[in-house]
Amino acid sequence: MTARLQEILMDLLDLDHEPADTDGRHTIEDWNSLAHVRIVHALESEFDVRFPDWVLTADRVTVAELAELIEPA
Amino acid sequence: MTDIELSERVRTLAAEGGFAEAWAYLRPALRLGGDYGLFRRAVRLLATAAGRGWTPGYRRAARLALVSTFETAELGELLPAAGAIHGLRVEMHVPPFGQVEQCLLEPAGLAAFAPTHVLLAPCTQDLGLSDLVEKPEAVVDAVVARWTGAWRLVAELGARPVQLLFAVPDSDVLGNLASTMPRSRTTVVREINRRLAAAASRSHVLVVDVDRIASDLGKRTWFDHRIWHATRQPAGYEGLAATAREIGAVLAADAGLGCKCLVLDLDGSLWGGVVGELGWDGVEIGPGSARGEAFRAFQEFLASLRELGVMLAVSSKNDGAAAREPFERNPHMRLRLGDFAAFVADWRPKSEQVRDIVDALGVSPEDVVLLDDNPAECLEVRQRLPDVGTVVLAGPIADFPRLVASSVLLEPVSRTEEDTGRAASYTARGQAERLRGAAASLPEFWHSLEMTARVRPVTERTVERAAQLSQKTNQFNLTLRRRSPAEIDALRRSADWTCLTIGLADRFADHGIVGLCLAGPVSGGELPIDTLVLSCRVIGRTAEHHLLAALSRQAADAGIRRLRGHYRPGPRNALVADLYDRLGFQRDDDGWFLDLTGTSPIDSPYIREQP
Repeated sequence: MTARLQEILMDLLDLDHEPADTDGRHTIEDWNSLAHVRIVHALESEFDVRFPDWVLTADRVTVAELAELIEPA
Repeated sequence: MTDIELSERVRTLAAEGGFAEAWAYLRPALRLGGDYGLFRRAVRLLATAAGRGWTPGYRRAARLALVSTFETAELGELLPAAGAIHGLRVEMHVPPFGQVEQCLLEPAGLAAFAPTHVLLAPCTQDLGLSDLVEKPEAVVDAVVARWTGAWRLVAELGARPVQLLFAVPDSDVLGNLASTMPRSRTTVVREINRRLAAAASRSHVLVVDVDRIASDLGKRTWFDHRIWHATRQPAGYEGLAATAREIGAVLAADAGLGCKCLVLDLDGSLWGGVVGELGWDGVEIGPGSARGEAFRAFQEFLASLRELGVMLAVSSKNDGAAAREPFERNPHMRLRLGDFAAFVADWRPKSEQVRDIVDALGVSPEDVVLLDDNPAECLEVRQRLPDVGTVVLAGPIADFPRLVASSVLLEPVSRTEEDTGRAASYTARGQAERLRGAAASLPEFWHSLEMTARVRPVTERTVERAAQLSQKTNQFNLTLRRRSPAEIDALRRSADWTCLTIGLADRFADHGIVGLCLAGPVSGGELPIDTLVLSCRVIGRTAEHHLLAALSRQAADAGIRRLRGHYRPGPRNALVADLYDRLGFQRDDDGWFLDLTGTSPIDSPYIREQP
């Protein structure tokens, strides 16, 4: 799951390296609000989950936190 | 290939620089209803490819300003990809949302962009309607007045308005009762849509029926209320992709990129079985089997397209007489021989048959799509006639109409009297071509056609048809200028312009309005011909002589001394490169001119003007 999460983030954010668990909107410049909603949409579609409302508007959410939200699915 | 696999394939190809191949994979999938993920992939592919100097084969361009009440950053990014699907280059101007009146009342920014179209994009959420609306008539009046007022301002910019209608909400506390109550939010939104659509059809405004799009997709998918609350976008991302696709189709159709002719295979495509083996009464069509019913329904669908102005033709590897028999004798057939503008049934390769149809009808290969259940035949045509579209009729027969509707741009953006008569007109053209073969000379042929014409100023009633000719005509088009209804409407009201249409009839059919001439503005005693187009249905009939003779007379009566002609070469209008020479114009450094102070050399003795 984490590997696929990393792939999606690399693809959507045009990254040439895997983001670290502690990376997030606060560390990756292109992870703006528009990109964030795209990421949420892509992850929800890929893992068939629906994140809580706060995730859509979160200013600070890390890769590890996203992985945790996906994990139960 | 799943969408995810396709997306990965495209990503790999793009990374290797294989942009053309990547686009060839992606484009049909997007057309058939690709999801948001594929749209995003297309957006990135086109951006990367453009940076490396590659673009898809665009056939037309549009400059689209997006004026909205909601956040359009995402939609604005999707729209160029939605246009590219159909060969339309869409350049975008996206001012901040929520500035509708400011953008239109102080249009310096918009005017600098010089849009061809302005997409007016409101959404239902912004109406702020409660479940039971107070004074519903006043609410409807106000919303309709706001947007019809915006249309006028857009038209003043010389652009064509494209109006998004409203999605009827996905839930209503009144449940099924909502439809019966004038005050319910559902009823009010439906009434707004009805009123706007009716006004649009009178005002040359394009509409995008968002409620239909949302219903097709499923309203629970189209609406994503979290996205609205978090981002002020009215639809979820799948809804935005579906809406973008429809906007792209409407723009492309308005640019004249719609399919003009469907070429149909017979065995396995219009009926079940092989007519050469089963005979006219043995093929599977009509009552008696689910497959027969499905083929009949597909023929009904094709007949409806013909009614809308799409020509039908047959290309079949069959004995000619056997191929015709079901149309003549089988009572369950919906289509009859008279429904086809061309009918080719022999044993030659399909590419040769289709080429004959293209030549006989005088249409462009890009305007033609072959429908065939045999993938090998489609491949053969694609390889030899790459500009001709092909659709393999695969899967359940009952799904053929949906497959064709989503694979081929059939979107009608307007409806003119000429659309209704087009198919019959092309059939008459075939009859005239046979007469031509029998005539000893062209003048004899022209005389035998007994042609009459109606040269008339463009009016409010004919402005839509005039714009259609301007947008769709490629071959007999001197300057390749594309004029919107709003532009032509403004020109016809100007004293410096002469705007004429020509309608033509012959002994076989009344072809309706088939030509347009826009000339102006008058300068220094000279009248430049801005636009001169003629439908391919009547090329080679001397109609251009008749039209320019009328223009010459009107100009001379107004004291104008010269007509000025220009020719702008394009990929398909070489036919008219020497038109002005043939019409007796003289060349100079600025193109061609015709001195109106002497006797006009232009006229057609073969066409009589109707009073």
